[in-house]
Amino acid sequence: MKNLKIGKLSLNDFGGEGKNLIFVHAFPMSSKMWEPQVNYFKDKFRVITYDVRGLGESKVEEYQYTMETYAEDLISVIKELKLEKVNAVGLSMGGYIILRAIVKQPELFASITLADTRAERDTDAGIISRSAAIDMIKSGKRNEFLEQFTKNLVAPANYENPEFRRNLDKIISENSDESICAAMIALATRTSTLEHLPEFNKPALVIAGEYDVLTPPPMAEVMKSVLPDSRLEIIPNSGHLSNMEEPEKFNEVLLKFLNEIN
Amino acid sequence: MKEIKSGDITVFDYEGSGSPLLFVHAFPMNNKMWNAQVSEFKSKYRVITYDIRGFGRSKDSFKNIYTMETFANDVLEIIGKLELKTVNICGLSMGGYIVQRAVLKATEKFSSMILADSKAERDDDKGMISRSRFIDRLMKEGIGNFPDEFMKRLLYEKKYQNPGLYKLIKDVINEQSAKALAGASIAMATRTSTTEQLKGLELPVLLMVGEQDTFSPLPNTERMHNLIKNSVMKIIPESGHLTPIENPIIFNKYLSEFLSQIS
Repeated sequence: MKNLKIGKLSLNDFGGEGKNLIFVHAFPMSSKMWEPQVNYFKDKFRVITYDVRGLGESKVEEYQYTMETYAEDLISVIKELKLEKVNAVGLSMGGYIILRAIVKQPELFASITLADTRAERDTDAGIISRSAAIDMIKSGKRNEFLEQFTKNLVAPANYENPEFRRNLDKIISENSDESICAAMIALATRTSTLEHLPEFNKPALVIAGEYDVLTPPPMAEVMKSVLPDSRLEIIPNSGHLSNMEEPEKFNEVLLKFLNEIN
Repeated sequence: MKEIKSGDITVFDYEGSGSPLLFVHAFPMNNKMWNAQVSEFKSKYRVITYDIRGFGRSKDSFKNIYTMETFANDVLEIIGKLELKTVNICGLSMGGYIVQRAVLKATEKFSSMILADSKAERDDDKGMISRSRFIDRLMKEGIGNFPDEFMKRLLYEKKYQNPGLYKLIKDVINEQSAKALAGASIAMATRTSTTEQLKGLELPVLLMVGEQDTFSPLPNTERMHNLIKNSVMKIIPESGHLTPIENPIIFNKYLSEFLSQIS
């Protein structure tokens, strides 16, 4: 594995033979959340992960950026590595980033996998609750916020599982208060991509955790219904973090999709 | 005039004896844009101005990371800090967005609301994308020739050609850092629509708009006028978006008439 820097972004290129497979992580995580996928796919594909601006090892001094910046960052990673025909996999925030990148530059992508995400922008109530979360973190209540957030993030059985929680909490703990708040703001500045999806005619896999309460299966069905070449997989027993909660099932449906289209 | 700190915010209290009149400035200006209103109203009202978080003399102790809600909460904190019972509040453009959210969050704190060259709608997707590009440009290239480009669209053509006015506005804009401008742009991008809640507002409201305003043109103000039961609408002639500076005489006249009618 090679660690690279592209501007502020920290990338991991696991080499590997075969097609390009890039993973874009969720909020408030880092590329480390893809460990079960990296291990499974690195012998079959050229696997690449990176940390979204501000999070993980992609440290910044200045926190003024939006969803558009995030999408530009993904495009710059693809262009800097001179990747052709990219298979992109994003979960939640990672899905928003991919959705915006395919609207901007569809020709860069061979396929997309959208896990536990949605095509709609934040509602007004959604933005106001993100603002309230930022206030909580600023006033020193980071742990309370994360506790509430984690409860909604994963299925109850995983929330109660100490080993799963230790791994999850460790990944989140490496992100600063500032980077978590700035990411919430970037999420709030995203636009709707729904009306652009009928134009994207590459293969798309839509995944949703059965018990995902943040972006429940009906939101996945909406994307499936407008993407011309798409299929939907529901991951049983999983909440929002389907790749970490049910890695075997997640890997199986992703591999099946990638084999079918290639 | 007394300068007061409300957390990160610098407040200018002109200590007049009448009822409080709080002014909230526009992007990318600061408290100085209200100079003509301060002179006119400070003998009859307790005039208060302040600099938005990160602007002018106000700092931010969290790396300029904030939303429109933070800006609205700042107003409520100023009112608390100065121990004001009720306030007449006047905001222009971004100031108007802040005022609307503050008023809708704590209506009981306000005796009237004045919105100039503002709107109730949030950014649409197209507006959000162009704002995002502007933020990226500010952070990459700094302020550059933004003030000149911006003023060309900001002001009524005749006022734009007035060198004294042009310099005055440009000097005020140049007091803000690129990071502060980017931070406030992000805050504007995170604002919510107030159209639904304005329907239920009972407060006396004055709505003003420059006849030649291209940023928040007349139809935006007309929509707010239709939504708000107790509202008066006035069009300021010979003015673009910056009505209190471009045509202070008419702006002050309408504001003065409104305030004396409601008291």
